[in-house]
Amino acid sequence: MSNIKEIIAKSKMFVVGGIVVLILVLLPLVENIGNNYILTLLFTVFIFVILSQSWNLMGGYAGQFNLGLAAYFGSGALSCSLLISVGLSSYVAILAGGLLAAALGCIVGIPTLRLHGIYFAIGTLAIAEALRITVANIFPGWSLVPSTYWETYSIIERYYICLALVVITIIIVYSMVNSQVGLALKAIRDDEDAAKATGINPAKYKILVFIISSFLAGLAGGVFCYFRGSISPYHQFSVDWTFGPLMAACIGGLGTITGPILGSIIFVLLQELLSQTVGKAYFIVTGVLFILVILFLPGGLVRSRESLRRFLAGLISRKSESNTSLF
Amino acid sequence: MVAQVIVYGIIIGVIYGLVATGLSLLFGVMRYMNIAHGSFLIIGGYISYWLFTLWHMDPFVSIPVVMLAMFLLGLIVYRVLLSPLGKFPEGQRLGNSMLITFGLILVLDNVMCLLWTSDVRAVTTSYSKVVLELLGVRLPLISLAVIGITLIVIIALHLFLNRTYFGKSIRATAQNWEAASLLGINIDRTYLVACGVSMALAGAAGAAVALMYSITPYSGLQWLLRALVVLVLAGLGSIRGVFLAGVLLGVTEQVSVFFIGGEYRAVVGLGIFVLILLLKPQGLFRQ
Amino acid sequence: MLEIHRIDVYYGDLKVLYDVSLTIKDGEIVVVFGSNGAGKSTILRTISGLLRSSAGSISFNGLSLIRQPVHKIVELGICMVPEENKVFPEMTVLENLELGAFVGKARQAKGSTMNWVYELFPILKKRSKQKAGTLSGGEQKILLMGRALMSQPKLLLLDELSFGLAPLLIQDLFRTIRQLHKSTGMTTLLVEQNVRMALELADRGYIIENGHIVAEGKAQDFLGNKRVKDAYFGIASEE
Repeated sequence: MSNIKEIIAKSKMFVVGGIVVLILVLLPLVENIGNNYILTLLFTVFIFVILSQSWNLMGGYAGQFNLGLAAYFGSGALSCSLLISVGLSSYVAILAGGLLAAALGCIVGIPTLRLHGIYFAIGTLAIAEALRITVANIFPGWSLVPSTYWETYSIIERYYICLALVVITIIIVYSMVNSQVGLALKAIRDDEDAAKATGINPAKYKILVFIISSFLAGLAGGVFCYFRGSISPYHQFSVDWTFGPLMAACIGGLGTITGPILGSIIFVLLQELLSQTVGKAYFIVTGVLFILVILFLPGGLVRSRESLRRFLAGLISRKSESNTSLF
Repeated sequence: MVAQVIVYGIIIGVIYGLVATGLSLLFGVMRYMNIAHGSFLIIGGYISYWLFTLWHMDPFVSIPVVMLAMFLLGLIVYRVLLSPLGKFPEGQRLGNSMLITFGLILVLDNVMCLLWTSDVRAVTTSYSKVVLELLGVRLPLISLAVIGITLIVIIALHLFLNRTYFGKSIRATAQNWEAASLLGINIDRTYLVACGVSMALAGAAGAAVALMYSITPYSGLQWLLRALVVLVLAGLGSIRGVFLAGVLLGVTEQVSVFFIGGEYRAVVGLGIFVLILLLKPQGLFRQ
Repeated sequence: MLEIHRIDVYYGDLKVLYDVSLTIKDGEIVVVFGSNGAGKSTILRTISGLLRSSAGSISFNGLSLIRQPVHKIVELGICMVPEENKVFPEMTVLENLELGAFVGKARQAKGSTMNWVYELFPILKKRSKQKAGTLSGGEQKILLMGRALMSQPKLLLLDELSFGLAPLLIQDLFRTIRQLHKSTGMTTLLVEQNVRMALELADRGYIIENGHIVAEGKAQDFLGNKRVKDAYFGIASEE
């Protein structure tokens, strides 16, 4: 009986998803083509969705807080721009950006395997920061692509590429999470030793998610470069590109597929709304929202109904003065 | 020449040690990682800066004022942001503390930028340029004074933690909070005070930084990263070896900068960091 | 002195104590025993405030202990010697004991109380300058006891005191408790695996199984009961 319910729920999800994608596909054709503003806005949302899904894959499902995500985004952007400027086809360059980022992820992922929890977080952060400084010293300033670039620039084409990447990302993440791999990841997240005891090799899965996560981030970097036409290594490697997606994923809901999507939309919309006012207000508001969500809606907005229910129940009964809390 | 490099290393290492001590106090006692520690350092720097600029308070005189103000700020921060973390199950608290304090960085840094613009600020006194020379080594006067003050602060902290009853209860709580509570120690209050002291230390470091170097609203993160390196060097959770580890990092950085050049200074520290993490994660000084 | 009335305790969603009731009168020694995992330690942890009960009441000399924070309960005069090792490893024996007297009135009497504790447990005096982490398991248990006594408790809660200790040391400890009780009339609630020795010491006892209190009675009655002997006097108590 519940099986049928599950199937219906899942198909509902697919249908909704399909409709959304359809709308997004048709959008540029309906709006007047000169409306770059909306397309650019959506593009930013797409980038954030890819990055937050990427971070969420490691952080939400595997429990590995990778604070160095920016390095993979940046390296994807950097390699893409370098490859385009030597004449490589753009799509190939984007893909190459992703693959190179994945390779970087492998290189970083293997030694950091033995680091747990907080050590892993600050270790990946340190490596990313070190990379940023090194890259900024080697490639100072803006990296431009050839001037012929702008003659054939079509924003719609870039929009569709990015949309395609978003869909691919979600498909990849979805299939990973709902496969044996996903189960293994959750087991590792909840209790690594127990997972080992059931024959799961944590190292294998941790490396796998690291590589896939970096691949996706690198793709995002590549398409970002493709869209912007120029990048600044200093900025693309900056921690902002880690923390933004991180916050989007957390606000939306760690460990879910829809969470990062929702979070990214909110994140980018907030930025748009608030950047008209005092520019910094955006960061402040986002920061406060982030803190509030962590404290009061753990599990993010996607699970907010559940969290609110528990919170209210807690106010009433004595039972939920849980014996697992500190005071 | 080498002596000069080492002296510069000690000068900045002392600051690293001070910042790291504050961070490690919070982590050691409560097992919360305050990533925004660097931002609080900068707040302390701004307090010192404005006391100097508006009321001509000598930066050294302002240090106790800054420390008091930051202590009070720490009490508020604990009560509003950190104590609610207690409701989470044990395994999640550290992670959530990192997330919350990360959000705090965004808020604090940008509020500071809003209030005081992102201009670079520094405290320059009439004696800022005075340099002593001893055996061919240049010793800037303010650096010497800062070293002196820092040593006083660290020694005072040591005495507090080891000679006073309350200080001992803080150490006891750090070692085993459940046992401490079973002896009648009010854990909540202990955490409250520890947080305040941690901020006070950050503030003192900030005042020193404003005097010896410069501050901007966003420069907190780099100090935090250094402090993290020091923490891992000394061994996460150890409050004692931290100061020494800070000095060690400072000297090592300066020596390598001598060879590699200034732009890669941070990379050196981060490189050491990663090496330690991979080879000896429990740190150098941990028993 | 202590009255527990129909408490339920959950750990997360798992119910571990069902409708438990228990009383202790001034000056009594009461023992709670039962199989492993039956909930014995949970009772002590709930009294001391480390765990919260979600129903029922706990009152100590008329005062309710429900929802009181742990340190308040200690201030009221209830002190628990926990089962796991909870010494402060980096601090000396002396400092550990000092911290035992953290609570208000006990602090002033710190000096004389410490002398008394040293008399009861001479080994602590011998090791007073050593770091607690370097003591053997048994010595640490003794330190825990001494530290608990430093707070001049009215009610002493002992959680599996004999756990992991050599038989000779267990005998010593129980002898000391008897001595303590004789000289001060210290009200004591014990949770014990070593049932025979505990019953020989105690006035009354309770049996707990699967979170339920299944029996209550005088210690001598339990000692004479064949079923109790068969079920609970294990190899450990064959002396």
